[in-house]
Amino acid sequence: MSFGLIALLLASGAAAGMFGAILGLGGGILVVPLLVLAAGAPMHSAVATSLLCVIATSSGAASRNMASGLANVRLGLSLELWTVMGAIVGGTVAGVLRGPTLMVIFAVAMLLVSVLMLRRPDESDVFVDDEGAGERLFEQRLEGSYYDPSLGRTLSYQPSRIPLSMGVSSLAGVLSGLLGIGGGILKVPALVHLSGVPMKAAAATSNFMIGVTGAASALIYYGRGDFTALIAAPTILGVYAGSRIGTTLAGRIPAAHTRRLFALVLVLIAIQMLLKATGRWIS
Amino acid sequence: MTGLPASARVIRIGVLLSAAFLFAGLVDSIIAPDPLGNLAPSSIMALPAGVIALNTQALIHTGILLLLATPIARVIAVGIELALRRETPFVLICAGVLFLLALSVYIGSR
Repeated sequence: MSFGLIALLLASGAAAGMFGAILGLGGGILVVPLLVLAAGAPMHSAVATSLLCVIATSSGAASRNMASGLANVRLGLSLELWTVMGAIVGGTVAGVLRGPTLMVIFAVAMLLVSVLMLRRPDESDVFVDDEGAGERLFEQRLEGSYYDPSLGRTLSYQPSRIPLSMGVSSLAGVLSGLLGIGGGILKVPALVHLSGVPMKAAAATSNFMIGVTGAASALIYYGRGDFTALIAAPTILGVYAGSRIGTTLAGRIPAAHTRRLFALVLVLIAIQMLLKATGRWIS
Repeated sequence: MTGLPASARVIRIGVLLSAAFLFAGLVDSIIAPDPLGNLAPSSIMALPAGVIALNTQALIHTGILLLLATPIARVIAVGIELALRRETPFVLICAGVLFLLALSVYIGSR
């Protein structure tokens, strides 16, 4: 493999990791198109590599969030069971789909994500509704609390309507296994709006789940031999570096502007993916 | 809710180890390009010998497998920590997640 291609893969991974960290995503939504369009990787290999990148970014943040208590481990475990089931379904279905078909599904998902990015709630939009929560014994055990330095106090919350979040988690798992994305774009809004989990705890808990969800489908891709080692290594290392840079920059860049720009980029990439799937893309 | 420090440590160690192997494999592919280095190891059992021989593919595959193993090890570590706290429902959920991960290994290997 040429040094130029290694540099391109490192840069692609770094860009995906950095934007992922700034926007609170796993970065998979960028890794797949960058690998397919810029590096010419086969779609299944790109999805498999992206799943590894998702595990890498998730793991980096999860260790910090678990130690601080920001990730609600009990809630995450309860939903993880459902995301993993979905991921197994997604990973298995991906094996029988052709590359161009996966590209079209991916492009449609990118367009939907770009819409969701524009509608994503800010911290100030979060409404923690605990009315009726805690009526069930199991839900009481999912109670969480964390110290919020921006508010200068400890926030406590009681997650509710868990079965609804379980349903959304299953769907997020299917998309993760099928397309190599983390699925946080679905899980975080569900946790916030359906289960009344504060935004920061929802993002951390979603991130906690993503690693295991990614591993479930990545194991299927690995067994099928979909990984290309020399593509995976530089991309993952780039993601590691990029997510560290992104975490540092995250607090300094206005999230709303970045989201709008990112949504526009996603639309452009989705169009390119559609062109590639239909054989009209000239690289 | 208090954090689970042992589980967080498991993740950190897994990430560092996998990054180290991936980096070593990548450097090896640049400084010592070897046609044989492009051959994937025939099985997981062949990986240790490949790593000792500084085979590019063996180093990278070890890094990939360590990365895949990290979330699994995290589930086990969380399960043990919750078992020590006698939180039986969540220990059972951990067992369920591990069963599903074993199922995905089976599906992938068919």
